[in-house]
Amino acid sequence: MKRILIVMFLFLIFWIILAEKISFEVAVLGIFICLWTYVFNHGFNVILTKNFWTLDKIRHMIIYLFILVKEIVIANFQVAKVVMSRDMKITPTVVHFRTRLKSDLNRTILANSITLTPGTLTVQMENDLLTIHCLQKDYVEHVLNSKFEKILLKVEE
Amino acid sequence: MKLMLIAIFLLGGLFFFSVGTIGLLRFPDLFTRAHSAAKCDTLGAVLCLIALMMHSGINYSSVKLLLVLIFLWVTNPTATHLIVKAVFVKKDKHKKIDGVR
Repeated sequence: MKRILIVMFLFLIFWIILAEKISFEVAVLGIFICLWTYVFNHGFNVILTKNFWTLDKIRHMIIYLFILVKEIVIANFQVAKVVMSRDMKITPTVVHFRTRLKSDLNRTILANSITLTPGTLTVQMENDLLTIHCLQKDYVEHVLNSKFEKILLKVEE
Repeated sequence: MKLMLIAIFLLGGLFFFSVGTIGLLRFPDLFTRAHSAAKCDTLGAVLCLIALMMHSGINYSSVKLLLVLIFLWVTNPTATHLIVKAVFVKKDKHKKIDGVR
């Protein structure tokens, strides 16, 4: 019961942002549509398992977000440098890499953030084996001991 | 002051979009092209959207722009991943066929 209330609250906020006003009609229609959506997405609510929203985890996730933004900005400048340089020194390599993360959600977050960071691109993910394409050979080290995985391991504990 | 900040953000966004496009034209194969397209799109779009948010102030439309930004950051890497994966798997298959021959 608590679970459905949290989901409904999130969906309603989303609905009100889309509707741009709060009135009786909007609320009734919103509750109806949110219930509908909840029923259809029943199996996908991974985030709402028992101990996801502890304070420690939220703190780690916020740190993670800040590091991600920093890395994305650095990544963009590096790619821009490579693109603008006169002779493009690129040495594309493909690396296989095993993560220590257990849950699917965290693995997906890791794969997506690897795609967003400097010169690395997740090509394939099968269970715990990630195949990563690197723009230059230097980036292989960044992938093998990434900051992201350490923080996500802390989140998972 | 506000106008200047908006202009800086918009110009930064346009710069990254143009870098992404130049990279798309200059890189040799699909994987490297995906690098330039995926990364420069994220920061370029985000800078442009932040400029628009600053322009409209705090109201519903800027919150909507924030939602666009969040969904862009979730979907962009996923789309890139799928395109690259399709090519990678296909390439692998061709290799095996050649190996059999």
